[in-house]
Amino acid sequence: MQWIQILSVVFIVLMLYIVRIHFKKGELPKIEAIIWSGILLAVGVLVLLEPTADFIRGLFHVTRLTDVIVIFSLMGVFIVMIENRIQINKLRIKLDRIVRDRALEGK
Amino acid sequence: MQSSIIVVIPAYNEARYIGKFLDELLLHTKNIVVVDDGSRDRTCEIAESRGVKCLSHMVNLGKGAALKTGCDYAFKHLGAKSVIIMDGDGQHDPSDLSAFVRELKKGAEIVHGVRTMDTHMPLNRLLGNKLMSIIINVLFHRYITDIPSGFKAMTKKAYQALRWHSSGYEVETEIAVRIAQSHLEYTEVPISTIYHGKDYGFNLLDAWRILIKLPYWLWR
Repeated sequence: MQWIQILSVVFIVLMLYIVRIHFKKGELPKIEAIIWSGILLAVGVLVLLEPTADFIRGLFHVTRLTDVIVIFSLMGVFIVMIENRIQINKLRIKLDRIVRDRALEGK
Repeated sequence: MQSSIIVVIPAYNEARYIGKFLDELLLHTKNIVVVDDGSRDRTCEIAESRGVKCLSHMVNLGKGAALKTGCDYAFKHLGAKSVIIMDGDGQHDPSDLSAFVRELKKGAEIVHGVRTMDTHMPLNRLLGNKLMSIIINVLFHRYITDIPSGFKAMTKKAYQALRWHSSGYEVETEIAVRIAQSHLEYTEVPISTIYHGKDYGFNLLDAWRILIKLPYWLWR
């Protein structure tokens, strides 16, 4: 096993633990916890299993599996980032409206 | 001052200055609305103790949101025709109000107070302010001398045209962008400033942050 594989496995285990904590606290819905865990486990399989890695490398015509993982991870990060940005903006607008309306009503 | 012109003062933790400032302002006008933007001190209490209407935000939203609350109240609830915006920390001189009223009467739709760029202003702030003015001028062909100045007046029509989205301190720049984009009658008047050492305008970092937001305001 290479160092990059060990590091990846440690990272995946850590992230699974974080997902579990947030799920237990009720901060992450069950379906989301399952999806995140599924994604992390799939990445773990890709990292650990050589035949799978060969298949994926061939599928995307790349020499290193890490490249595929990095590209897909970046895509995932951008999706989450945009989604977070939209949600934060929505919340800010709602908070803004509530606070200003209450002030105008003299509450 | 006419009852159709309301002075709107956004204030956040200004208990130290607002009492003295309102005492001086009340010598010039009784038409004042203070918007307490979630202060943790006695800002609103001090304003109300002087008979001034105070609107309270439950939490701190920022200067842009406080200005919107004050202007909405003045135009919708008090039937104002124009508002004059002043900062709550007493850095503006109430005796300058007459210049704003005069310009509004002459037909200006927006009147911007311009602070004297004197030696009191630190160099990085002076450069930041100038840089922003130049950028707005290059982009929109309208030179606004003192963009971060919080002393300004606008008519109801101008407020409806300018209506900003920014909640925080960057609102001054968004207003400047909207002024530059609009065809509203715009004028500037010189104002005197009493500095408390906390608000001189933009530093270069502020200017950089605002630069990043410019495209958002342009195409929103």
